[in-house]
Amino acid sequence: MTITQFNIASASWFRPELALTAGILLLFLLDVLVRKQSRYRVAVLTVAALACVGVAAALLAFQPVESRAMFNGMIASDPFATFWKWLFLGAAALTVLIAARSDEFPSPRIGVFYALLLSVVLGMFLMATSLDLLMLYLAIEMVSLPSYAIAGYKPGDRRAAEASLKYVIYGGVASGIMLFGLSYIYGLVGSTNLTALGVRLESLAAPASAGGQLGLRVALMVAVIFVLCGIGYKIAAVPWHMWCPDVYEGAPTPFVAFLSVGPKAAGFALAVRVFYSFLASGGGPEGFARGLADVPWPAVVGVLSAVTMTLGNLSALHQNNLKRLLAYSSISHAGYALMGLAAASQLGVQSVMIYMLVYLVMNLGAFLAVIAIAQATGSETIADCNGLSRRHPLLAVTFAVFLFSLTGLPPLAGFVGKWYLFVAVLSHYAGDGGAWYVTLAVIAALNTAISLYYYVRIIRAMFIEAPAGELVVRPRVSYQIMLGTFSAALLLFGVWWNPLIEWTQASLTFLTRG
Amino acid sequence: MPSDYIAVTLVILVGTVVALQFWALAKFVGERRPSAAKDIAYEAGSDPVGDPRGRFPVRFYPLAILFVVFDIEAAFLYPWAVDFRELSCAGPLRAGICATGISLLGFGAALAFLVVLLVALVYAWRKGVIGWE
Amino acid sequence: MPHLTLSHFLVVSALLFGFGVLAVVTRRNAVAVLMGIELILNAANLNLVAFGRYVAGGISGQVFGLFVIVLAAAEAAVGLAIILAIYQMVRNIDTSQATTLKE
Repeated sequence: MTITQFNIASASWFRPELALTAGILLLFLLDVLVRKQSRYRVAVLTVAALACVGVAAALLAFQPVESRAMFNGMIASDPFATFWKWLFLGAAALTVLIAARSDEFPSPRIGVFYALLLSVVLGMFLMATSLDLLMLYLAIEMVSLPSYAIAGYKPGDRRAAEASLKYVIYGGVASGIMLFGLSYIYGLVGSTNLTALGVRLESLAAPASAGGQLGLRVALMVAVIFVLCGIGYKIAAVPWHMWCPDVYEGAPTPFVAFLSVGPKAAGFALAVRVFYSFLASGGGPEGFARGLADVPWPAVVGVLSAVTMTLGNLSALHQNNLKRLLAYSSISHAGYALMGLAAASQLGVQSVMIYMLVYLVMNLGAFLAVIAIAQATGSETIADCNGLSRRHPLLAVTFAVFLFSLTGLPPLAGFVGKWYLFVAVLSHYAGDGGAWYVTLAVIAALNTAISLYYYVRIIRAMFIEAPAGELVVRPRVSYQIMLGTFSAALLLFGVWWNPLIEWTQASLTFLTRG
Repeated sequence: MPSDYIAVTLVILVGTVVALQFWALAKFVGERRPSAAKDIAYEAGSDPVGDPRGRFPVRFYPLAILFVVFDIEAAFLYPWAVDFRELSCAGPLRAGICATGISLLGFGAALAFLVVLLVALVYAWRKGVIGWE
Repeated sequence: MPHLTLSHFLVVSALLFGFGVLAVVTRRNAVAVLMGIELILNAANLNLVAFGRYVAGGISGQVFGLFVIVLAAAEAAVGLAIILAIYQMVRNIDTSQATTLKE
């Protein structure tokens, strides 16, 4: 088969992405074709955006599930990628539904938001599937560039403009440094394909005892740290988290809700594929645990995880702005999920997948509650929650459910997610470096206790503080439905988590070697 | 080869010497009679209008940004053009000749790429970035 | 005069990268910071093309470079558009002045 025929054959496994591309173009055209004064403008554009997501989902559902490399080894189609694609499409559909009824998107500008949002989704699809350094870099930029634009979306808002300036500068530097690292890896190995990298790096980075060269190992180590910088930025891990609180505060809240779950999950998908293919001598999570270039990479990730969750939680303690608080909370959650990567096992990967799935629901829910509160009060501080339980019990109770789930208390799904992360880490307690893994688990447990403090601050304001003045809080009907559904889902999967386990178990196959 | 660079070095040297020589001749031999008419920027042309360091209208910037983006996209067409023969052949090329019949893949791929650019252009145009008012 | 070897390119690209990072860290003007980012990207590009020529062979390095050139332009366009939006709002592009968002 020639390369041309191979590419044509690959296209049939690429239909969801093609549908998204067509949808993005269609939305840009609709945005300029539907008249600005039209009463149906928002409805037409929302339906178009949802239809685009729906068509992509339908094509994804009817796509045969098998592992194969496509487009000359550029991207993969495997059950692992399909899992993340479902997650991204779900996040996109919910974000569209939230944005359609939000005050932050004036109707003349909502079309471009949908188009950019779907561009981010397309980029995330590619992030979860890339098998090549070039594809990996392009995918990250495909997610970043539209995100910069959406962050500065509010016209005439100084905070939004500032947020997007910081975002574009931090993002540009992080991806530039990552690219520099990628260029060294390309030079060291002579190929951009992750599959080839895994094979050739093994002999290249042999330890000194096996006759390896020190210079090569150092170069490789520096390059990998540069690449970590790009991935860490995408999942907002310390020390690459500085952009996160500012962007979350300045950007439109529905987009922040999406940003806190979508690109973060895509970052983890990418990290799993990168770490377990080319950083793993021998392939797979177990190869990752053996380490490359004499560096115990799981321990490095473990330290990152501990620092990220601790710093995120400590910074969240004294925040009064709800969006900033949730920003620091999302940093700490990236820290928890990194535990699964540090565990370097099949179970670890599975626990990251479960956690991201649960985190999607609870974090979107928490941001939705913030949007509903901000629509009534005009600002988004903890004081705005005062007496919410008397003004709108449903909003207060569901917000409390999301916050308890974020803390990881049973019987909510957040507990299940965290439980599996702990199991993945603690399953190493008898093996090599068991003490380190136990330490990591203890730090995570302490962090859970710290996080309870600031989540409970909000709950206290809602249920104990007296309401300041007479204010009617009446969230939109679609928001009430979503709040109810999200909390019901968290309760349901908190006691009946078998489907989560089965789905992630079935999605554990991924291409590390094409 | 080092000898390849000798010619380059010579050209640079000769160029520098010639330039310096004319400058020195004009400076030391030439006669100078300054007058008001000689001091203006275009001695034999129209009078300069305004300050060259003045600001450009901010409207130029979106247009310039747009130009950079569309301009650089053309770079993608070069590798496509190089491979066009191979892409347009349904089977493998043998000695540059296609015996198996024509495939529209090469043409279609570039067309799809250009359609994407066209949508972007239409969007920019309808948003009023291209026109002046 | 010695031949150009891979190390010549690597030294130049490392210098470019260093200057880029220096510009990002020390300059306050947002446009200058963007120029620093461009330097970093071009340093990586030089690496890619040099490695493609001396190590990998083939055209994969050049193709990678081509994509990076286009992405650098796209990133510069988005960055400049954002800077322009800020300038129209506050008449200033000093990054140390961008402090409305604080804890």
